Amino acid sequence: MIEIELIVKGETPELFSLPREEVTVVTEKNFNGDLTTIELYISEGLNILFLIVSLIKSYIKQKKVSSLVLDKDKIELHNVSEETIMKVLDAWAQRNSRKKVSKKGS
Amino acid sequence: MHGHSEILVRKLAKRVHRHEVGTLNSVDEIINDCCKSLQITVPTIVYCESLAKNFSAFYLDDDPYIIFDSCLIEALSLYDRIVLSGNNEEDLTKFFYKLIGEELIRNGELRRCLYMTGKYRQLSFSFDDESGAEYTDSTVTPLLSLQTYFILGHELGHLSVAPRYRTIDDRCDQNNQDEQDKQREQLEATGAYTGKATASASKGVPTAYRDFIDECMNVIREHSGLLDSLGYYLDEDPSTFKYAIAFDESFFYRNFVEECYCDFQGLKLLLEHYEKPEDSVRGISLAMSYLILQEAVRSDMTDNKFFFGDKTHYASRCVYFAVLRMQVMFVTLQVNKFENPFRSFLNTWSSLWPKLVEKIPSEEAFEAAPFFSIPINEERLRSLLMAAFYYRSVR
Repeated sequence: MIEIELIVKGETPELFSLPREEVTVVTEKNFNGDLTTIELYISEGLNILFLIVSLIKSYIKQKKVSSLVLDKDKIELHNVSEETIMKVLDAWAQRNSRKKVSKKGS
Repeated sequence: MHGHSEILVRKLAKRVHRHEVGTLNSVDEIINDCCKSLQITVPTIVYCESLAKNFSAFYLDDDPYIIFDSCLIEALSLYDRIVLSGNNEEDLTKFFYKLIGEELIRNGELRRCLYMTGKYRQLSFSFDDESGAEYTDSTVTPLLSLQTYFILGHELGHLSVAPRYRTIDDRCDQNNQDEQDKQREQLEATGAYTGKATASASKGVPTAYRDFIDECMNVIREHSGLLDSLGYYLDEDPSTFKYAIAFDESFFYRNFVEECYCDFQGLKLLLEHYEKPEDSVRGISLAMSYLILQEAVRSDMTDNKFFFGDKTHYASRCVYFAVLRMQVMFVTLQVNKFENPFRSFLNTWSSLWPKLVEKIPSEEAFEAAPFFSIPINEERLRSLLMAAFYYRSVR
């Protein structure tokens, strides 16, 4: 299972339309309700992984994401350029898709 | 669909655990009672004792869950004792070191935490000696019980209004048709788009309550002096209410209304359960004061503003919203008849927090310390630090 955690300020409706058999979405609001922690638990489906990454990228461009946790590494977005975070996300998606492909192959 | 137990294990692992906790019958009873009043399904209760120090209610697929973290009760019990024994400066300072130190542990900044542990251990709580004996469990336990009721009621309120899984058509910004179409196309391409077939589970916060909050905001705006004591913490003059005006009709304002609605649920459940409204208001005020404190410390540290050392940092929005929430609650209760313990919290806190933060060495000074380059066993150090801040398990 792959896990992504986002802390967002704003609405992210598209994530809730993802197929529930492939992605479990858990949301929690902070004390003030202005930040929402969204955890995405992804099982199978490479298309979904790349779709989620593209959705996250669009949220980042819209300045909705304040931090991101990929493989337990937390990235505070105010410390990183948009360009860098896009590269990190692409590399992360590629790495995970390779893992899945090799699992299927073995 | 994923196994819920695997997701729960992952969620709990992120909270930095102190001890294992078994089922607590008193909490089960409160939750059953609240769910009956709210007419919602009783969630599965997950007990833990972790440095996250919060209760959290959420859905996994269609199943509701609530995490009960008894570290929040420990911290609340300490805060109650501090306030009941007269807001002694040394007690509050020691408590701040605990909050900051435990936050550093959560963030994995263990070496930096050593300083906080040392400072925490050098001080003692006045109520731990014989002269503070009157603030014993018999005084604090009833207060904690009603605070637990209120906070659980608030969290369960979130479950009662949670939208869960709605369609993209329901959820997308109706004013942004292009974005909506684009996202739908993307989802359709992968077969992920579920359209209108997905049911909406809740109607959300009732319209009448939204109207009520609008009225509350008008009352608060007319009495802007209510927020004067917050000057240091705000990046805008509170009397201008720039935030509140800017947030009207926005996503943030809708979330703010939901938080107020959940406070109202907690309040309602509590007042139905306890006969003494004055005690309830005091308990809620103390609980909210503590939660604001925790969030303000957390928010400052998350935003890397912890080592501000001067007065140029801008205030956590958290404080602003929390104070507004309290004011909404007081307007709801027409609380002018009661003592307002929240005001004394603001005064105490606004004088003590800046003084404390100014004493903490700078980030550069920390990093120059020799122990920063010595290899350590992180697991062992984490356990030691957590044990150092341990006060007692409160259940």
